Amino acid sequence: MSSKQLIRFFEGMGDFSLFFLRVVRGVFSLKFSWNRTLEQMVFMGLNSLSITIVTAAFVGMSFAFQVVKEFVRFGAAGLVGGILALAVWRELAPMMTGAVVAGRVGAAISAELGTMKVTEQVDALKSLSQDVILYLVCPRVVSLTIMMPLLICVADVIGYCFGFVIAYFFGSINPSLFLNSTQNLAGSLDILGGIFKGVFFGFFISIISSYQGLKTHSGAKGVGKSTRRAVVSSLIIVFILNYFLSMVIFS
Amino acid sequence: MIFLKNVSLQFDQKVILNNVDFKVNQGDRVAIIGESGCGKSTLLKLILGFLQPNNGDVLYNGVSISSMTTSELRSMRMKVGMLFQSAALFDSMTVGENVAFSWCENQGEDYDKVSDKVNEVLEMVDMAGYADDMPASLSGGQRKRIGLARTIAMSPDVILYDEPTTGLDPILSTSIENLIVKLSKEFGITTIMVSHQKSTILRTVDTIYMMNDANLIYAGTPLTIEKSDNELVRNFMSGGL
Repeated sequence: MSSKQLIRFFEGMGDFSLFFLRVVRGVFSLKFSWNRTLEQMVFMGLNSLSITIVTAAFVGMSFAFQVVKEFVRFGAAGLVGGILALAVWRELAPMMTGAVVAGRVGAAISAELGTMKVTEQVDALKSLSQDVILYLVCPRVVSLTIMMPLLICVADVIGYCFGFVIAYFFGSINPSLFLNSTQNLAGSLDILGGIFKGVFFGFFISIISSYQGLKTHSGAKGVGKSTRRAVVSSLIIVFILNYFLSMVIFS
Repeated sequence: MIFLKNVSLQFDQKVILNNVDFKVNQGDRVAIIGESGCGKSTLLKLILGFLQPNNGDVLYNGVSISSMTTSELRSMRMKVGMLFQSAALFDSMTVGENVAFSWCENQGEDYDKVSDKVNEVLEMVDMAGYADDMPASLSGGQRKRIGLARTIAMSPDVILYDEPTTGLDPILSTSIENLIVKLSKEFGITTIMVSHQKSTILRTVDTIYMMNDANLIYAGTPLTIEKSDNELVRNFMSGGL
């Protein structure tokens, strides 16, 4: 990395930090529109529900299929329910939902704000005496921070239930054995810890995507570039955050 | 009213404005002309406080824009409207919602309650009956008129026009030019325009400034500009630059 690139990197980090602080201040000022926040909650939450359900179902089924096969072979069928619950609730549901939302919602936020930027709509907002952070960014950040944990709740239920179906049909595991094992191995912290991760995922995905969107320049090509950057950065931050949050919550 | 005091601006190593100095008084109609990329639109962004000069100062009613707080900047922008080159209509809103934006967002009024005022403003720009249309269904000229209606709705003291007639046919251009003059004469709105269109400049303003290579190289009137001693100015006006 050349010195010029290094300077640009630190400039970018500084710029993002200032943006981050402005957004946090805007969120806590509560001066943003709750109507727009509700609109965004519908768009981000309800519209992401189907893709979250499908993803969670297949992740739960794939994991259960592998676990059932191996655990039954080693005579540990009684552990399947608990292992599935721990894996889905602690890691798989939060991380897969985070990845899905980063792709779907992160791209949408960045593309929408990027298009507004290159068509001068963001400047028009400013010229009409609006604060861009309060008008465009805060409603998106608040709604995704609220909706993400709810989507993870749905993913928890779907992933676990579909895993149970696979365990029952492919491993012939007794339902009461499955539920007992879940009760013995997993607890409320496993569910709440995973859901709690969603607060951070939602906050960072929305803030990174908004930042990339508002930094867009150079027309349609620029919109594509900022959308790609938003999705890639959001995905990376989801995986990094997931690791550290798991360390803190479940250690 | 608006005073650019020895303003200089550069991005990285590129000088955009070099010691630009000019004053616009209440009710004046001023055009800034020059080649593409000479810093004309940047001037408008400086006046709105979107950019800060590296040197010099931009004053609005005697107050430095760079020293304004966020709320002072927002109050200033309520008085300084802008018609963007692309009109910059909010494409997720109807025409009526675009026009009512300032009333609804800045004054907290309900759209239903201001619909009569919306229709009045739309009538003023010859766009009555379009309140429920979406911006995507409008032509370039219509979008500009709606953009102007949205600006007028703020009751500004100053309107900044960024290439108001570029890309429009002569008939539409004339209708926009007439509107600009009407707003200035009937409501005393100060006009600061950035344009390439010779006909628009000559028809709408009293004072013309020309920029070249980041510098202000000419100040005159529509009557004197074509007889200017400066060859660059004469060439620009005759289309030979």
